[in-house]
Amino acid sequence: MRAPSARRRGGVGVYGYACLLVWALVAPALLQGPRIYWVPGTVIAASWLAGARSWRSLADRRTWLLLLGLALVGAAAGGWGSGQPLQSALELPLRMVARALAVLLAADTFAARVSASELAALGEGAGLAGLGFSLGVAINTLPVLQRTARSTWMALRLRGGPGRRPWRACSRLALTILALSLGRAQEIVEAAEARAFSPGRASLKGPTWKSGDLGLALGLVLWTAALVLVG
Amino acid sequence: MAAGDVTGGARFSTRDLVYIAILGAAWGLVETSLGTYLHALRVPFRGAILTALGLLLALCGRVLIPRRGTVLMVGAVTAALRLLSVGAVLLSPLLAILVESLLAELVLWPWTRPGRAAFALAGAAGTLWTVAHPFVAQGLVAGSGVIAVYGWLIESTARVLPLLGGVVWLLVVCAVGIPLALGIAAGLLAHDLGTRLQERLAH
Repeated sequence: MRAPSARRRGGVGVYGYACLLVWALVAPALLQGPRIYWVPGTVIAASWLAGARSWRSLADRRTWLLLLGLALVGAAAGGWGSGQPLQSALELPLRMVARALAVLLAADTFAARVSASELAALGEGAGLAGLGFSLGVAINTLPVLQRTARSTWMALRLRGGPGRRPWRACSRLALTILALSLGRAQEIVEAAEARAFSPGRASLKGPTWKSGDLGLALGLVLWTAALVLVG
Repeated sequence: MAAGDVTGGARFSTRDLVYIAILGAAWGLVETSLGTYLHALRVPFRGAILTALGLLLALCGRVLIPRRGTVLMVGAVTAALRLLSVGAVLLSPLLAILVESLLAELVLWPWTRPGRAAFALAGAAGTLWTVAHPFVAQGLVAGSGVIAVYGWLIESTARVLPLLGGVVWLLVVCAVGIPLALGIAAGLLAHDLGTRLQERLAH
């Protein structure tokens, strides 16, 4: 899933990937005409240089359906088939597809390259104290929660299902699942405190700007200026 | 107090953080398990249904942990879980979860122990975002070109359906009214469920 060594080599951290995502959102609005096609290309190149070697969006059928849908609707809205010259009719759909591709790839790179701890540190830096601990507990709780939900549902079914009062049954089901899951909280609290965890002392250190982050941000600003001014 | 601490200085205890984690994981589970079924079955208002269920859990947390920032923390845990989960095109649900929990949190912000009406309002505020969210998400992904597409869609639909004027109002009322009702119900249920959970956990 993550490749810490590659990340260290690239020197790009959470802020660098966030900059790339923001740039993919902002740059298309600044670039007129065919210059917009540089945006997805730049995102791919920057991600590649930072260490990203695959984009899960590209392997997802929904991405291609989204891009195809944007192209078709955009072409129809641009006047394709109603006497408009082909070049001007295709400008709108191609701009939309280029922007969408850039945003999806930048979001993919962010999700793939930023680790859970970096994400939690970013949240804690934004004022969500204790997010790192909660996220860690949540990841470990998911399978237990799933098992509890399945076994409670099976117990309800074995006793005849929701019956004539489905709302009351659903309410009791939710109450039982939550009570059983939250009842385990004490064990987790004791385990955490046995390891000397204290919410006041254990807040994660916020991520710092790495040289790669600054380099990427500066590079994107200069590249945007070049595209706007020189074209 | 940490700079920009959303809890207003009152830090969460270890138990609070564990409760937040469990409720965030439960919202994540609802999104991934029930969400998959609802999307596959093309159930109408599936976004509002999922939001209402998620907010039901997050608002339950606000009853169990009467501190500012609880709903936002539950939303942040869920959003982080979504970001780390397998799959693609994650920008839209991530944004939705964060904004919905933020809206519900802002409504509950003035009170330490909000009443049923405040919970209903918080649920409604969160689920109403599902009405605006597709336009915001499509705008983020496809840019300003989406406005031209909307214009073309409205124009061509109006040409095909001359009676659109009357139908549009009905559609708008349904599009706003159903999420609103779901949100109010989620808020009220969360208050009751949270109170019952509190009693049960106290034993």
